Amino acid sequence: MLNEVLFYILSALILVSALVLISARRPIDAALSFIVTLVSIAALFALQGSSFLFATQIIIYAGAILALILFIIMFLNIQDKNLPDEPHKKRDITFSTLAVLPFTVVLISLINKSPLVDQALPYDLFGGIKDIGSVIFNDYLLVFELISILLLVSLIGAVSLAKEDKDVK
Amino acid sequence: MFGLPAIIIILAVPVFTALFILLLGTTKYYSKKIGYRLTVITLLILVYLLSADLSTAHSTLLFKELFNEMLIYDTYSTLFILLFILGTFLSLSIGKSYIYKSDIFTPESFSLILFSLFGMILLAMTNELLSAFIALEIASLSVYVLVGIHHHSLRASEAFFKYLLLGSFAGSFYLLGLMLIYAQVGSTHFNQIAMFMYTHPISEIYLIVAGGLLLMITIMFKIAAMPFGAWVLDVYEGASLPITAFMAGTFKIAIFAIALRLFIGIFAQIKDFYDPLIVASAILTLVSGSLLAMVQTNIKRMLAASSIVHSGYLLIGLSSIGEIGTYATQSILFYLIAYFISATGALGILAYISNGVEKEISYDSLKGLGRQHPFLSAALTVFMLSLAGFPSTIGFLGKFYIFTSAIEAGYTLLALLGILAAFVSIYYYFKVISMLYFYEAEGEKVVYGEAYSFLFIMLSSVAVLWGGIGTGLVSFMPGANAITDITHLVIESLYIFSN
Amino acid sequence: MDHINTAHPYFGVFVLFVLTFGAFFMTTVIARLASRALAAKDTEKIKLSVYECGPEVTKQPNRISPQFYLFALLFLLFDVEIVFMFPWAVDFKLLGWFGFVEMLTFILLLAIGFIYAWKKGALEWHNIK
Repeated sequence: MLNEVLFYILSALILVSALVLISARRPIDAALSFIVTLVSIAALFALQGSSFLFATQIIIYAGAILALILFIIMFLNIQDKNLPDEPHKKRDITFSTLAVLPFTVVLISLINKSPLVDQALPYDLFGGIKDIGSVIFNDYLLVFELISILLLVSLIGAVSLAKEDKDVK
Repeated sequence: MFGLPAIIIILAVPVFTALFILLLGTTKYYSKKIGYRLTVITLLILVYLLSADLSTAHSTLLFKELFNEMLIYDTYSTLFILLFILGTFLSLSIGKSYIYKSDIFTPESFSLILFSLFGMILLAMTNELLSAFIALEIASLSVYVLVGIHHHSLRASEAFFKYLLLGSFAGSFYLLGLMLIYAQVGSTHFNQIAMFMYTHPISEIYLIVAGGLLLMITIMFKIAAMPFGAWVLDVYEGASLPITAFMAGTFKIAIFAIALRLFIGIFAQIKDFYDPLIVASAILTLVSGSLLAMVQTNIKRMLAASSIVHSGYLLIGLSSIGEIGTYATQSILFYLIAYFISATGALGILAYISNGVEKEISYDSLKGLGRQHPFLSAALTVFMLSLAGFPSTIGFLGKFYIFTSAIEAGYTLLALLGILAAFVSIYYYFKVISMLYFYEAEGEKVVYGEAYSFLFIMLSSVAVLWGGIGTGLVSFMPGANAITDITHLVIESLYIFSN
Repeated sequence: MDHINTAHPYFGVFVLFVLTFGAFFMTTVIARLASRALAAKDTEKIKLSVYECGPEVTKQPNRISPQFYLFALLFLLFDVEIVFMFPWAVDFKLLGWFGFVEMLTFILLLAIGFIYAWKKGALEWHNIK
């Protein structure tokens, strides 16, 4: 009972904060409500007992990525007058939601029909940090090593594109 | 040279050279000459190691235990890897004069080109969805940075941001689709997904169909098929010319490497769901690409728009892949080879002409080039004829095979639309040729140095002509037949049960 | 919702975390709304302007350096690297030397990136070559 209540509270929190994220006028409001979305999603992972995903979500998304976004917002120092005029924002959001809706409905009904719905994921079988480790380092070894190259490439990109900074005071 | 050591070298050498150039670039011992030569020598070594493997149909799983059957090395991947290496080599060689004269080619550029090549090599070998995604991202991320590395130019920065944001957004669809397929099958390996679909009734694989649809959105974005292809014009225009040649000629066929394997490997059974979508996308791509190409005044933008049209022809080929035979697959492979060499050559010549300065090359600036530089103009004419699909060039045979395979598969109207688009394309390609020969020169004759670049322009234009010659014309040196034989071996290798 | 697990050892911690976070966020929102509702609405121009004893007020230059952005990006990249180390450390005994070599390769590649960033001066303040 408690679980279901928690689940619905979290889902409502995710939906509301995501809606604020796309409809907020100021970027800083959007970023702050994005934190709520990410933490609530982390909470959903934790409700399922996926402790590793929970930790990753907090460390990477709520920690590093949000810090990055906030730095960018502070760096750009956007004034209210610089914000774009979006007179049709509500209409646009409504229509684009309606456009994606059919696909979402089909997807949800497909997932509901699939055998996965009945499969429970008890935390002692999967989702724990130990199981994920054995999957990453045995089955997906190649992907794991490739990720380091992907990170390296993005590092090169970040450093070489930031070079222009020497011209800026 | 077939054997495990060679393959390890093929995987390891690009990464090691890239790292070496990267670190060397931070020391005082680095000069552009060293970086360029190291890159080119690496590519030549790879070509030497690989080329022998094209003569047989073979298929092996690389490090079966260690990599969990994720990498497969067959004639299919050999052909594609060779194309990537040759494409990179040609873009760099023809663009040599540009690279040396322009100041935007830093050590990072060379190592990113090699990292991108590494990602593409993996993309051709991968047999599994997750590693395919990471390989695709390695290749694309390097290309994003290569587009934006010219960061004093506003246009390049704009192109970089557009490409990065839209590309990452499109990549997220891939992950969602991957998740759906994994949720249903419990595996990301191609053969296990195919096995799952064989053993289960159609009602249980709808999630795979939905997931595959999302994978296709990403692929269509990357090949610039039309509902998702509007980024091409700005991105190709913003990138510097050798990089544009690299993107248009090499990176595009890398996406087809994974798309074809997906279509033949997994989606063969559920292709009926996708066919209407591919056909619709092909029609849209052909029509809008042709319209866009007609109105451009800048030749670089025109070539970018026409590359959309070429994606349209390839989509016709994809839609006609069927159970009947392997003819459509063969025609796609042939077309990819034809397109790769013609596009790299055409954009390479633009890089050669622009002489290291990033400027708009309009139609007018080519006026009278035919008198001043007869050989260069002849080569440009050959590339344009091949892109337009004129008989006796390799591009003609590519289009011919694509259209006949479409008619064979029952898409006669689609083939007719393709032929119509080819006729329209004559308009904008021949406009370039008419500028070369039918107008007086306006400026002084400019001397383009660098015999090395010129040599490779000539070699690729000869290859374009040679590839268009079949046994019907010259019986002793049939270029087209050699390519057809190779594509035949490639397809044979896909059906070898490897262990 | 059968698979939600209240018996997880960290469950209490996590509930506390989420509730604290929600409470914090709600407090800030309520405080903002309340102060907006209670504040006197005096929009005279001279009252809204910044007071700086005497001289004309000029717009302050942007004090946040773009360097922060690069640091945050580098932090993010190495953060992702560290995330992979948690499962590795937990499974260390199980994986043995094989896992050690795997992780060594992973770290080595990123260490090269680190050396590159260092040599480029990306880690110093305002000194990118």
